Amino acid sequence: MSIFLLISGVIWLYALSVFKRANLPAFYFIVGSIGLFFILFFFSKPYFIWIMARAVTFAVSLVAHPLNLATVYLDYGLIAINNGFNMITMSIDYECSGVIETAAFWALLAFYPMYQAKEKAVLALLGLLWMYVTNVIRLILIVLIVHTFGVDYFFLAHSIIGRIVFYIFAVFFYYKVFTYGYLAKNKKKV
Amino acid sequence: MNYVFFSTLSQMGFWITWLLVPILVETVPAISSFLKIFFHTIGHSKSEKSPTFWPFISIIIPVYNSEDTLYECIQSVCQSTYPIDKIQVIVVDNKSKDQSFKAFQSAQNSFPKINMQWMKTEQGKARALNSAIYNSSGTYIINIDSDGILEPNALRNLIKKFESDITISAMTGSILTQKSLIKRTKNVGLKWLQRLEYFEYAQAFMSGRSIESQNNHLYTMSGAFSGFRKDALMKTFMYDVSTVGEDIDITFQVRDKTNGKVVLCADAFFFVDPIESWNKLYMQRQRWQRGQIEVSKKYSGNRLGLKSFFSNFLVRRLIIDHTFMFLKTIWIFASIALLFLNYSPLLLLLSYVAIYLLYVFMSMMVFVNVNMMLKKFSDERKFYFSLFDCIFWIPIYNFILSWIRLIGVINTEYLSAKWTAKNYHEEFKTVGTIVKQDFIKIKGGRKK
Repeated sequence: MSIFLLISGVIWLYALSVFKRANLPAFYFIVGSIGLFFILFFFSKPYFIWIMARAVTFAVSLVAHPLNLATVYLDYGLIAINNGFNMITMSIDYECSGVIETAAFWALLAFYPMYQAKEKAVLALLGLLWMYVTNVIRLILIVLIVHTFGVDYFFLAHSIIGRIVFYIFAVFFYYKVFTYGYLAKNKKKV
Repeated sequence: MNYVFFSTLSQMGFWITWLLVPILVETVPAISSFLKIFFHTIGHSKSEKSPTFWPFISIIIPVYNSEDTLYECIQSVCQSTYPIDKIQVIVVDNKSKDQSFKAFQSAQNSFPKINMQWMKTEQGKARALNSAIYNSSGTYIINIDSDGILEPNALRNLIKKFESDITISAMTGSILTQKSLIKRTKNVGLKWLQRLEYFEYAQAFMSGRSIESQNNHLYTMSGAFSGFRKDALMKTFMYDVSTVGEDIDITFQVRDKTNGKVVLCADAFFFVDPIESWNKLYMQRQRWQRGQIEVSKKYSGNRLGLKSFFSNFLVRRLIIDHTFMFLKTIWIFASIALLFLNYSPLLLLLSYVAIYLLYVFMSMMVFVNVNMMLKKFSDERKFYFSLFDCIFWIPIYNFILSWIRLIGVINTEYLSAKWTAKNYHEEFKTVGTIVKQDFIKIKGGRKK
């Protein structure tokens, strides 16, 4: 760990302590979430990213292999999609691993004042699972589109449709956890 | 050429992600709204016919320490083009500690022709409004804030719209800030804020609420100027005294209990004072956010589940106003993380510029809409046009507001029982004191 990270960590912890003592929950939440996100991110690099990328590739291979949609190279995190005439290779890297999205969700959840520790632990696991499954669905969708329509559709499938699908799922989950969960839970208080 | 274009886009990779969210959630609806308002405004160039008989109306003005503004407020009612013998004014004081009554008396002396009465109630705007509603005798009940002034034709336009459509249960007027006061502001920073506030109000009412209104999806009537059919209001539980979002609450109540429409009257203007400081804005927006949460809680439970996404506009509204706040907050910082994965800083910067330009484009569309809608109000239109540069500032202003709203959300969760949110000066001061004390402790410890 670099000295820069260590100093940043100490400053972050001190800032949290100040906001806590000053009874400023909003700043505690904002600074806490952002700091934790970076901590999770730096710790996930490269191993967690690597594990998640392999896990995603593996799940895609379970669908792609039997249906003969693509050739998946698990060791290299590569998915070669063919449509009979052409072939395109998609590399599963940090972008497709879902690690950044998961770390972002965990960071917000950890400091969200609404839930108890136990609830947070369950939601964190659910979040990991949700992001993972959503990512797999996104990649299978890309494979299906490219396999059916050809490599010319890779950009559309990967950068537009795939992402839209991913974000719709992510937004729904965020709504369920941060908005609906909170409102429904608090209803009786009103 | 095609190859160059698509290969460049592919290179951008992750970058496109940042654009997709605002494009999907904001730009597409903004374009649709622009077109709707554009064609609606062109199609409705002819106004509603004036009724042959002007009904009796009650205007309720809740007062709390309003001695500086009350006279002008009453004066604006008296100078209205609505027949003066058809107006009842109820000024309802909820425990003022200043000379508000003197201001009322002075107005009574100046405008003897108007039917005016003074009432006293317990503290709280909602309580004051409820008491006055029971004492009112008009067919329509109109609430206005004591710190604003009515545009001379506002009452006529409001009642004209009510009379032309019996399915309308309640209406909100359009709120703008007083341009003369903005012009008078000397402080450059404050003037910048006040110009943006005017621009924001014009956008929010004339574009935002106009669209909501077309679908009977108005989220909130303005607490500063709204009107009701008395019989519709009597079907509700009246103003909720337990929330700071009583205006949102009554909007939902009226729509639910009367099955009628709650709409915007875009040509009924009420001018309020411009915001006095950043600190006031900081507190005001947190209070609004709290109101939204409190009312949403009240209407939560099964009604706000994701399965109601298409049937209940409140779900969609909450996703945009509440859920996206969390997504945006974290993604601003998550994007910085990309730099540590050898992502090009230039592309990241470009993505932010592109998002900014997208918001400028949206603000430009609204600017065109509002100009069209202000056609009959040449002074306001002229002033609004002079705010052209706000098109480029408004994305930054909205960005600042989104942080204040996030602070409001979290503070509501923590402090709802004892809402004592501090202004940011106090917050900085508290943080400063704690850091100073820590520093003294460390210093003292070392000496020992």
